[in-house]
Amino acid sequence: MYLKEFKFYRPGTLSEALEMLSNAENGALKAGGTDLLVEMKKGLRSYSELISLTDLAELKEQNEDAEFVRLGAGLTHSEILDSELVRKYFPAFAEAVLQIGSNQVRNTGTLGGNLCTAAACCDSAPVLIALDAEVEMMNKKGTETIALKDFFVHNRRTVLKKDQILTTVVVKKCAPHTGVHFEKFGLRQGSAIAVVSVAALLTIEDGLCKDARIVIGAVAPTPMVSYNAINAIKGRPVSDFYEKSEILLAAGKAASEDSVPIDDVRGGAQFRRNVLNTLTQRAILTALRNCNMQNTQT
Amino acid sequence: MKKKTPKPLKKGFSRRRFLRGAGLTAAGTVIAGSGMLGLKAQQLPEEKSPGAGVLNLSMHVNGRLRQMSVEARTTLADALRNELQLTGTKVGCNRGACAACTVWIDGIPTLSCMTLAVEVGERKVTTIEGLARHGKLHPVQQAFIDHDATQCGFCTSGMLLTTAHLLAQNSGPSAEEVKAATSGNFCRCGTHPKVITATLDAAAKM
Repeated sequence: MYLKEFKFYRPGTLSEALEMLSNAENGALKAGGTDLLVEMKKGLRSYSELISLTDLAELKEQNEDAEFVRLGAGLTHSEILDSELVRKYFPAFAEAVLQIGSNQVRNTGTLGGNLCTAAACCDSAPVLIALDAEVEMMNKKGTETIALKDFFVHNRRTVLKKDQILTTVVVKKCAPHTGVHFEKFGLRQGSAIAVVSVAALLTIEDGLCKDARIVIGAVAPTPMVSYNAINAIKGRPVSDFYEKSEILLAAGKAASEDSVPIDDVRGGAQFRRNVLNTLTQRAILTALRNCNMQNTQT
Repeated sequence: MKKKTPKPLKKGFSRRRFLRGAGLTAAGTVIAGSGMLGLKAQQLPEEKSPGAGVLNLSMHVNGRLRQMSVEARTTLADALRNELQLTGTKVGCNRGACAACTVWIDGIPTLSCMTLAVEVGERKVTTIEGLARHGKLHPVQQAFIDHDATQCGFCTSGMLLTTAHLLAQNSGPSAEEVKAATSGNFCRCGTHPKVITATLDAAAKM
């Protein structure tokens, strides 16, 4: 299993990379390569030019302002896990990233690469979508920003144009009294591909679920927002959120009805719907618990 | 009953050298064959763009600066094994799923089958051949021997580099932490329990 021949470019700056990308005939951007090289080895994709993003310091930046945290697309999953900003503001995102691949894969694979591969079972996207993240894409003409939920078009397809590079993921800091949680169901504990995943975000005010976000993964061609599950819980008193309560059962059912899962080696469609139902309820309850914990801390 | 004594192999003769020799002979036959059909040698790309054709690289491996000729598509695993004859690095799945090919790049466990040799650059590579220092085994290597934590041995190099890295980060890991650290290293013989025991033992002795 050798790779087919390609020309290899190693730009030192983002503008050099954009120049090379626009000149490439059939080029691909290589970030960590943990998905790309696998697919090239299997013969599923072939490119005449690979442009490495490894040396671009611009893609490794992370910073915050009053409202947002900006994470460079070139940060490896391990760097995300070590990030003070992520640990402080988005611990649930860190939990999701910890479930990507193995240690070794996380040491090489990047945030941007994970999103651009756009696998339906992508582990980093559901939480980020729940957090209302946006992505910045750059080409020689300028920068475009799009909500992450609209970034994915289909399984392994995104809106990213041929001459664009995903540079930054912008994540909005949570409103006060917000809890977030990510649930993943895989067939084993380590290095598992998600069979079903759910991210839940709840904002509580005066005992009511003022705002909610439920994002489901691996049960549709792209990670997607389950609006019906959100409607089932939004505006409701959180005292009614407990195991097997009417509201939670309705939310779980709504999520599984919103999903369009496939049958594959990891599970049948109906199995996925059933797991999704339970996982959604669990994610909501844990997000609520995280929210309460946060309140007692502050 | 007569006991057959195996003939000793000629000095300096190894299975690997034999296989390599056999491979060359086979390749030679193919080349000669195409020559007979009157085919010209395949034209190699001559462009001077980065990455086309053969590249001469120098790489820090196990504390030495090594020279090698590779192509852009050559993975670090292939470069180590075929160019530097460091065959302790094993290629299991060759698609980043089994971690048998784990090496350290600047001390970080990395899959050498998913790393292009040209991308290593100035960073320092440590393979299983570089884990023992001054003729003395690394404590995890000794513990793997003491606890018999290998069977076929194919995953062992990766396991050792992964567990040695864990102990460098965390001198007193729990069994759960060893499990989490080695969860990407697949052993199809099922030595995982012994790997955990050996790693904990090495930690205790370090």
